[in-house]
Amino acid sequence: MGRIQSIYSFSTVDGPGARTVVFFQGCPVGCIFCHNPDSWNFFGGEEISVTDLMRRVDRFRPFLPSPPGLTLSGGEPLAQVEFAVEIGKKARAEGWHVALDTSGYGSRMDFARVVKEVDLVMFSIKHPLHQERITGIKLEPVLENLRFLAGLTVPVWLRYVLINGWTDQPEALKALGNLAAELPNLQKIEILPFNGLAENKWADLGWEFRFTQDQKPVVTEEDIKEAERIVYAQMKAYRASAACMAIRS
Amino acid sequence: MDPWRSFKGTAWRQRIDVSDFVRENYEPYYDVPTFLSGPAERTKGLWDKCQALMEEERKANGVLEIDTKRVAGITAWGPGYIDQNRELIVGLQTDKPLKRMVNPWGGWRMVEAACQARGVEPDPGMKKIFTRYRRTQNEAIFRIYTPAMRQARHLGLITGLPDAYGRGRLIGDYRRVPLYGINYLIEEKRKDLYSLDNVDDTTIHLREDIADQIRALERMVEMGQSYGCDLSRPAASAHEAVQWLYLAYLAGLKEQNGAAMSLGHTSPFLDIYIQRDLAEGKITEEFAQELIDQLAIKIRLIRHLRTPEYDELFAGDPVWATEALGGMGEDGRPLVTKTDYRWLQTLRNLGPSPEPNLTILWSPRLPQAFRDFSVELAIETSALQFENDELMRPIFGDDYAISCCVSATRTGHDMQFFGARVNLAKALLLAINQGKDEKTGEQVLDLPKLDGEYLEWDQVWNNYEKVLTWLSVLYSRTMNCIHYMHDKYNYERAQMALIDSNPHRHMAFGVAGLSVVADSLSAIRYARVKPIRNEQGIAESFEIEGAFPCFGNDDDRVDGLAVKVLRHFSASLAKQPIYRNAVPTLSILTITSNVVYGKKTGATPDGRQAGKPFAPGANPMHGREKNGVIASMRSVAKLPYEICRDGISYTFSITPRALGENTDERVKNLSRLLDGYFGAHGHHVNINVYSRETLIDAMKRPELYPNLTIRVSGYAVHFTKLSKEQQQEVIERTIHERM
Repeated sequence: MGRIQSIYSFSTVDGPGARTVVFFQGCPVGCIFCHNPDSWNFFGGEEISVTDLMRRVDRFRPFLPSPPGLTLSGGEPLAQVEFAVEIGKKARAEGWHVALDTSGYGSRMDFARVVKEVDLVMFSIKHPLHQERITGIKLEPVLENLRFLAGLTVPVWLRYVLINGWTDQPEALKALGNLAAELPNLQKIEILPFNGLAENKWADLGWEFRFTQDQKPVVTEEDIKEAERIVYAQMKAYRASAACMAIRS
Repeated sequence: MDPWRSFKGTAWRQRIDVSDFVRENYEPYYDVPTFLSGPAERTKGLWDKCQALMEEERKANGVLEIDTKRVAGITAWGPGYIDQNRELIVGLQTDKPLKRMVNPWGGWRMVEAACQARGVEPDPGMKKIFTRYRRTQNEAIFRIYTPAMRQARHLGLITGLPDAYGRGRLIGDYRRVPLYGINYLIEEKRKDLYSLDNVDDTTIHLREDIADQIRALERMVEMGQSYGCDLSRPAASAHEAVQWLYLAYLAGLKEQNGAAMSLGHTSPFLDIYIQRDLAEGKITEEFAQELIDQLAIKIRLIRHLRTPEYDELFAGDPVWATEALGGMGEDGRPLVTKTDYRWLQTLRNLGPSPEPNLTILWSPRLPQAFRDFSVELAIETSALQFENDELMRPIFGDDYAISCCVSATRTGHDMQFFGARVNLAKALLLAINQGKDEKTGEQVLDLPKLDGEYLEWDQVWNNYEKVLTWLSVLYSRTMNCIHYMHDKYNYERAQMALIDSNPHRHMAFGVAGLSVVADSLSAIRYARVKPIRNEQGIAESFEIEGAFPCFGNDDDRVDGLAVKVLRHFSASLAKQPIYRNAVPTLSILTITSNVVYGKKTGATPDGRQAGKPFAPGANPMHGREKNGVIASMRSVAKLPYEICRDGISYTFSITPRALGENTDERVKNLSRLLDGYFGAHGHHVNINVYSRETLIDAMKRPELYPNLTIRVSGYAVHFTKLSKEQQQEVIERTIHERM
């Protein structure tokens, strides 16, 4: 059994192709820009068995191109390890392409168990230097899991939400480039623009949203391009220098 | 030259059997459409001229000119042209493009109201005739309406009834004219007429119909002659085939103002003629494309004179000139021909447009290239709708067309008595308010009072069943009155002349507000709903405590309630005696009228406020679909086609990005969504791919979006031609996106 916030039947922005997304209920990370603040509470949502969940997503399968995609998102899937592992096992056995959308926050052991059961890890770095500024958690365990991931063969996407004034510092983007460079199994970096669409959700919960109307950062397409340029350039530089080091030593 | 040279097959030569002719002679096309031709100079010039005229029309508040002197009829006007040097296909409704005709047969008041709204007076002589000497359909119907019928009509319980204008929905088999020539068709009709000699009402009625049809066929020949076309003989070339077919269709448009006038499923037929001329080296592909482009232009110019009230229901001058494309033959070959592609190509050569209402008959077995091309165009233009061929073919065979928006009919063998729709949500409010209308307080029927502070499911359902049963009786009787008089005073002889003499008849009933009712019943059943009643005991608003499942989320608890309502209503309709032994069918379809229906309906127990629009057709209510498009499609697909054979209309809107990252992905994803939806027995879907921002901008700066076409329920429309309220409603619809 596990807790889910909802199941979204058709998405083209939660991994490759068109996929169904299972939003887990419960998240310890607490990002200030969170899209789904209603998925934080570990006691909310709906309780469901893996069998029932698979039965439900199976109804969406004939509408999805092959192989059908299933993304475990949240909330934080790592916070319900058994549930995530079971879904991953079952779904893959039934021919789904399973992606894990995670903050990377969890024990090494839990993380290892879950990533073993998926076809793709979408790893969201909240801030590569000062994660505590925008989340309620420490950076180190997350980076440890990312380093662990570098030793596996499972494909990895790095995801990063760009918020002007919060996550767009050049040194942060460079640090992100360095992290990316260290992942031999990296397939894609997705830099996503912040949008304040979750404001109402925060209001519904009676919580204060940091980015209300007048303080809403506007992230343009150019901002995204510029951030990408910095990240990729740094990645290249880092890899080149790493290669030099390797030759020298 | 032998018009039938090189044609194969025998059965179609011995009697009227166009299906057999098509089956024996058409060539399926499996390959990619690299053969397609761009717009030809001549046709482009013609279209530019038409667009300039339409711009003038827009500036003149939507109506360019009205001919107030003449009564509509097949030969009422001499020939009319747009630009004779450029017109390959000729024929206009009147003697000038976009000039509207006056059609008093349906009703005089309608003519007067429509003219006066445009600041002109209809001819006094004509007025005298149609108010003093000649009874009209409208007058005849209102003479025999009972008080209950009038009440249901004015309260908006039954709306959109064709009691003051043509019922439309008929599809003549226009292919018969090019294939056989009218002389032969007249001979066959005469045989039918003389074979009937009983003196009972039914037979005499039928004899009069056929006699009228023969008259119409004779007039068609005359009208053809005025354009220099000899319709009495079969068409001998592709050019003639398209021309003959169009003039046959035009004859209907010259004497009728029916809301919906489909063209049919003509492409495999026309393709046979085009392929023959191409093979004989007589025409080029460019010319073949021009023929179809020019036919499309003619259809885009069709206009009827409407009242402002009519426009409020069905905005943007819709004609529902529906042309079905694709589909599979019963013998396993696809009915996809090069001309199906040529029709789609008109959207690129002339730009997107609501008319003709191109409808893809979808099957997973269609050639891949055609699936991809049609889906790509749907994404590009938002001008296409798709219907489930696998669901319709077993019932209607493979030679069917789509009448109006969504409703299948066997070409040349079936006809329909169109009957608008009832407002299911108002009916539910009657059940809650002891049979009193929620807006006026008028007593409509007697029902037991509900007790308790909260609405109790058993009591409400019990009352609702009573209302639905009562309504089905009243509705079917109203329809019987309308169609009796329509046949008598406003008979569509030109269209009926191209249908079998004693056709199979459907009576097309309809419902609106299904998702409002499903959600309301769900709220009553799964949450607690407290009606806030005024001193008359009428619930003016509702307080809802707790959560309840909403239609559109693949949740059987509420989806099942929608089905339960349909089953009850359809079963009661099936028990009613119907005019001319027609078979009752049911549609879930609103076109743009969901806005007006909503306006006429008080607050509902689902939390919808008084006056707010309903969702269109069978759509879930705006913003209540929480689980994405597949879940929404799943819910709609549960509505049973076997009891809703007039069609179940679903309109789907999605942003380009939400459909996929690039064109290839979008095509792949949408094809698969269609396979999934139709595989789950969904019947119809309109595809819209746009963003809300585009619509909002088009509302502010309409001049920049003259061609922005969107699919509403069952038809497409220029967004800028919708009323402000309708535009607002479209913007508020669920547009699937995930950010």
